Amino acid sequence: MSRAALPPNRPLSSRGEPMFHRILDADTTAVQQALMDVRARFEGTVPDDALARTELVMAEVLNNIAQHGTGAGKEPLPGAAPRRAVTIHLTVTRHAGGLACAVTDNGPPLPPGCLEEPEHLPSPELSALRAGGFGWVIIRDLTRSLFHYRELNRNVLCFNIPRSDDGDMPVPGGDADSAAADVA
Amino acid sequence: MNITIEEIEGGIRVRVAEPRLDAALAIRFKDRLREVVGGHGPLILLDLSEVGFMDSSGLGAILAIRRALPQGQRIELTGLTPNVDRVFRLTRMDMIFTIHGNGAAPAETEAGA
Repeated sequence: MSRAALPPNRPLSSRGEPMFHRILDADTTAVQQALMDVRARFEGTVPDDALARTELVMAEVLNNIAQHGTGAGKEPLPGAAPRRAVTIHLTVTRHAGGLACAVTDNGPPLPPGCLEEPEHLPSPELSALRAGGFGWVIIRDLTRSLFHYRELNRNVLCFNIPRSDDGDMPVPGGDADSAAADVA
Repeated sequence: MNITIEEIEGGIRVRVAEPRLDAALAIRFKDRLREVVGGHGPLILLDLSEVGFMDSSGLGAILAIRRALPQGQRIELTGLTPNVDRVFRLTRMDMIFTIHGNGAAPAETEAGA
């Protein structure tokens, strides 16, 4: 089969396409690769700052699953197999207001309360000593429309990352393509 | 795990030459930093100017070292890139570290109250 047999409009690369989908094992190395691939896909089509916020939130969400969903914990013994093999499905879609993200996993149910703002914050010094819960602080702060539900044996977590840091959601009358154009 | 150490006034500058301080690297980073911290000081100036991305795992490693510091030693930070700075601000950990401007020599101040 020669190259000429390929359809003439076959895309050579998916770079810039408005949707990213990936199925990955819940481990921190696979997570790192997925994050870099999300960046490669959307770089130049959404503001750099929005992409950086997406990468950070995704790192927190996915590594939570890799560490807690698998039962491996934050400091697994070298070479030790996780207690559970967990598979993550990740979807990121570019739209006028930013990036819409959905993450599902077949680990145990997300503990209640993760999505809710605490009644009062511990002092920074106490937080530093506990050194826990920072991931959800970051996730809650940087996302909009954060919600979770359990469907069959999977957690489903959905959220939006707005285009601008203080922005609430969509650009009226905009669409994904015009939103992309005004970044260039 | 790429780390370089340079003697400075009052201690050492520890330059982290890694683009990402994330969950995949956090344990190695913490172990390496712990080795480096022993026997130096009192100031450990952590230079993060080459780190373009850090998540709560990287932050957790720095906090773990801070908790385990021998008496009289302190960690200060310099060279926070925007994405790293964001993690310190969102978690309010910018309030517990002395943070110096990019590449600046450390001021002669004790770490915050």
